[in-house]
Amino acid sequence: MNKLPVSTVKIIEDLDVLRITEPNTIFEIEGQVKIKELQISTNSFHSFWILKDNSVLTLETIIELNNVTGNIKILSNENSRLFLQLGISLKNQNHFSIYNKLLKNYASSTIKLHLVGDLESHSIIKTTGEISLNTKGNEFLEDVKYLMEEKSHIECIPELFVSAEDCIANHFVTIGCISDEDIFYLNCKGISVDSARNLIRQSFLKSMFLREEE
Amino acid sequence: MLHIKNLSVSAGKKSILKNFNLDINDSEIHVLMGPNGVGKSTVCKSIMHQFDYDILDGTIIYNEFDITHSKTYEIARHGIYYIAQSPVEVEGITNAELLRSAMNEQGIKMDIFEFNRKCLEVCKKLNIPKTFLHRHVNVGMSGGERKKNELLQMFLLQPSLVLLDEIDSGLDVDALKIVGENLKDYVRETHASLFVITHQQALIDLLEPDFVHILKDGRIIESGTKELAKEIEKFGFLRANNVSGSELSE
Repeated sequence: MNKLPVSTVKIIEDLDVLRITEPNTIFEIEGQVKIKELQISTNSFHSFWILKDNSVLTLETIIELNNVTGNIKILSNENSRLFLQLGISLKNQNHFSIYNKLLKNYASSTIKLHLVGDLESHSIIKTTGEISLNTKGNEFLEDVKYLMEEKSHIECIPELFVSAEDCIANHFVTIGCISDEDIFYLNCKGISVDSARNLIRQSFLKSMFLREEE
Repeated sequence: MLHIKNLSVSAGKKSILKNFNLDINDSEIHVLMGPNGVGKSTVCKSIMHQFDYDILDGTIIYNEFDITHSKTYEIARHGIYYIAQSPVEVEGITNAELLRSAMNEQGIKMDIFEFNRKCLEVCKKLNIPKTFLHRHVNVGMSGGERKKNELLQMFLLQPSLVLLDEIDSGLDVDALKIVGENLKDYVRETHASLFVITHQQALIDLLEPDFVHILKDGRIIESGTKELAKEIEKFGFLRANNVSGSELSE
């Protein structure tokens, strides 16, 4: 008898926290699901998310990765919607990837990441979108912004594999850095250099949600 | 209070201030004037130890502390507050967050109720909506709104010396009046001092400064009362040094 190596969780309604606690997990999303928070409590993981036909998954949250090697593979089925916004604070060494494959027709995916590295962190972040052959009406957008710090290193790899003709696929990467002017401005309010940097890092992670609200 | 002695400052290879001297005592309002590009802003930025400027010589003493080579945040914690000509936008940080962080770091204790009450009071004074507190620092604000925003922070942080670099720029007539009157009130209530860079006679009339200084060639070449500003307005900076306006008009 075959023994299933992974646990499968079916998500059919809104969730406060999605927890990735084991090395291998499968989440099946059905219907319209909004998840408020993502918690990753294992240092090495492979997580498969399957968006069933006509499902909608919205996840907007801030996470911290600290010495994590992991990947999230998302399979989007017919007419599914993915809206993933992650603010990721990177500490120490991380190797993290998000892979989204649009398997059928009329699916849409938006993946937005804001990345910021702690001092002397070193991370590789890969985002991949793939639109399958002989599909139609799919849309894929990935938008990665990262805030560069003097002593942190983030290697950002956006990828697109498009095999269909009838689709829209975009990807953007924006790199910014903490300016001396911003630090000086905050210093003038009596805020130390370290606290100013921390405040700017936190605000950068939050800014993607705040801009949407405005 | 503030004593600047023989200060020489450069930006890169360019020498800007040369043996600059200035003394500001408690509750005094000083205005600095001078032609464009003589280094008026450099005075404020040097006091705050801004990264673009190198202090080559001289001392800056504030309340008996030598702050010549102190870090900017240490200078601010001594009670010096700087409002730049064009305050920067800091996206993602709300005014409330900034103020709470600044107060926390400066050791200013204020519970949340007192904080809210004080903020509302200042917003009313400055004729700005209370939603300012939840807006990101200076983001999407007009020049005048930014200046008012900086004043809002000033009222909460209660500095003992305020450096204002062209606070009037971007302010309409009514806003200028509100800003001028509030600055005057602030000095009256807290006995703080102001160091104001301006070309605006209207602001000078509102503030009624104790001293007006003229900066040229990297140092103060003339000091006087508010009447000096009126002379400058009438005859310009090109009037001969050490020749008063009344002599020129004769």
